[in-house]
Amino acid sequence: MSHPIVSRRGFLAGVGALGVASALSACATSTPSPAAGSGAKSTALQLKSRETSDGGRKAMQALLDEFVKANPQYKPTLNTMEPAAFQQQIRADLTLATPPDMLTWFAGEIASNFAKQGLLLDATSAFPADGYSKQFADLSTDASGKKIFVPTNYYWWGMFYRTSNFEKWDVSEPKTWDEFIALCKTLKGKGVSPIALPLADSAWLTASWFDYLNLRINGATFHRALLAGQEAYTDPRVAKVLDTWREVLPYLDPDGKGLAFQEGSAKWQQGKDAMFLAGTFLGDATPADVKADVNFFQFPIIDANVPVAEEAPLDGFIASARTANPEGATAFLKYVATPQAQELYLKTSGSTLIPANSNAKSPVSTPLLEKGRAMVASAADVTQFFNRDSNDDQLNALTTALVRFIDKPDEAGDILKQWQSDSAKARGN
Amino acid sequence: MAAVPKAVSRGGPGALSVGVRRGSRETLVLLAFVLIPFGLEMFWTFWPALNSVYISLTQWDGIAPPVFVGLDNYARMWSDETFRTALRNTVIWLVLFGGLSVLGGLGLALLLDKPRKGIGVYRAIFFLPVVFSMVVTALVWRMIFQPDGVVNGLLAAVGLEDQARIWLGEPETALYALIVPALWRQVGYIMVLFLAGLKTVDPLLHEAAKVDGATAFERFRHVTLPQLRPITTVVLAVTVIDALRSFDIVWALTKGGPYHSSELLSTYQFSTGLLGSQLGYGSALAVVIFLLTVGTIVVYLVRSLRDEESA
Repeated sequence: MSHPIVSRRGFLAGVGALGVASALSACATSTPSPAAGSGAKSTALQLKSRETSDGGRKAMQALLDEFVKANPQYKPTLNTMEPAAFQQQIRADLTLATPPDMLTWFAGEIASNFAKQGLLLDATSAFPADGYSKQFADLSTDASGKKIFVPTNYYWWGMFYRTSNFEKWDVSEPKTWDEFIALCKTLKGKGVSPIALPLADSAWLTASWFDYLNLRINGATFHRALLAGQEAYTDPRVAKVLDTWREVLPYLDPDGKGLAFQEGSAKWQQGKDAMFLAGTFLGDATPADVKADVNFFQFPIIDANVPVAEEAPLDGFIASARTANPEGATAFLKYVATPQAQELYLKTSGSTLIPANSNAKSPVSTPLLEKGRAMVASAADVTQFFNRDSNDDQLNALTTALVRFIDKPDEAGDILKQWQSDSAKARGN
Repeated sequence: MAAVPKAVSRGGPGALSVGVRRGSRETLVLLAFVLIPFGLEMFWTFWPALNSVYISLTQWDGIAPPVFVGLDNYARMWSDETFRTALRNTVIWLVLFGGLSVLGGLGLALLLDKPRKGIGVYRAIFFLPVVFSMVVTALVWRMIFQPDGVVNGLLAAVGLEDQARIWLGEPETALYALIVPALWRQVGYIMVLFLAGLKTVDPLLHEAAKVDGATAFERFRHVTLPQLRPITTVVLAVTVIDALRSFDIVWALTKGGPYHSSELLSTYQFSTGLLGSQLGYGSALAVVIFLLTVGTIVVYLVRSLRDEESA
């Protein structure tokens, strides 16, 4: 009789012990200290990736396979996670005692912040002496001068349209803001909705308009200072951005606020909306027979005296400072910085991206890609994107302000005041 | 807790030595049954809850050490316009979603209570939305509310084109457009609860009331409703909890937008605390939601228990 009772008690005691043990080790706000160097040298390497597309996943695996050929002592594994979840978890990932060794990430404010907290592995030894432009090298460097990020590719933003549609409507690419407004007017006269801006699930797209208008009107230096909180959104220069934007609001597709990104890009693809300010991902999502018809023009010049800046979001890899295998992680970063690795990645993934290392050639060179590369190369300055140059809390404040502005442009003064207050609060955490 | 001393004395004074030994073992087992679930509950529920109370008193981005700021996060709510919108929307949601789902569910249950040919089909139709996941529901309703979707199509068909709107994209309509799919689902659920309750109503009382000349309304008011009281308590508690924790449909359709006009406390908490990096402020919002939910439920349960005692 006593046997089952004892064993049940044993079981319960075990469960209790488990609970107590985990309670002792858990305190919500504590950050575990870096893993103490284990005696045996670790050979495992985990790459955590947010490239969920079929091509992206294959390309990441291809990188690891090639890496192992040259470095057979390591056993790398790929862990792919959906981008939104990836982004949410990265803070936790980097503070784990046994973190993923390498992670996909992007250049900008958040990476610098991670570096400031001491979460990123020093990648200076992995960073090649030549191949990277000064802009890209600067974007990969933290405040103390260490390299903390290895860029592998970038894309660009532009006003995308379909060549065949522009021919059908008998219109051509505008260069300046006035030409752009005239084009919008012409298109509207022909019964075509000029500009797509789907907001239902992608209000963040408003940031591309703000970035470009601010870069064209006030320049990259002011833009960066504004995003860093050194300038206020109540500044008259920001008000001017909204005033300028107001000129095109009548040409936005009024259905846009009820459309999701997919629906909006389908509408653009069908020629119901003429132009779409977007990144190259817009063209990548079109069917194969449409791809050759996809074209873009540079965001129109507003003030010829302002040095031209373009948005070229730069993607690449970081490594965790807490990795159990710093040599392996550094070796991997060194590998992905090479032209061969970047060409391999682009060839396998098939996305419209430009390799970050200027010694690498685009494996599939299309006129679109060359046009994009030339545009970014000729730019006087390069920015990332609003939330890459700031962070997601700031992006929240922006979308609140700008979606409201699209709806109620008369309340601009009020909106900017609110924006400044939201932004400051988010900065204070 | 009262079970423990009772178990100790259960051995009885008669067979002392055997009884004590058996009693002490039973005591241990019983204690384990009480303490271990209590411990697990403490660890999995109260410890995290207490932690978020602590985090709500700090300023923390999830990485750097948290900075203790006292009640600053709570003070910030008073000057936070979005918080006030979210609070107001949550109250509107509670009243409209809660009220209409209870009324609708009760109405449907009364209509579909009497056994009739094919009644099962009708019940199934109204219960069906409960089966779908909220995310699927959201997909369907997104299409219905689209600029060229079903709602605007119907309006155009009856000559009301000028009433067509972008239902989810305009701040004036977004919140109400979200309540509709939430209700569509909840009404079926409440109906089933009330149907079960109606089965307990004694038909003889109805007969007697009818003989005494009571009208249908009087019978509903004085016979059916009083007997539904136990189930009503459950329904109201469930409704309040469901209303305050509503999140999925809003997140799937508008994410609280456009510009926070359909923000509920739950979505606001999620976007500041989890998507953003303001864990301190996000936790403070979570504490407020917790207090609101627990407060409403406790007030309600205390009142209904007191009513039952005095009845």
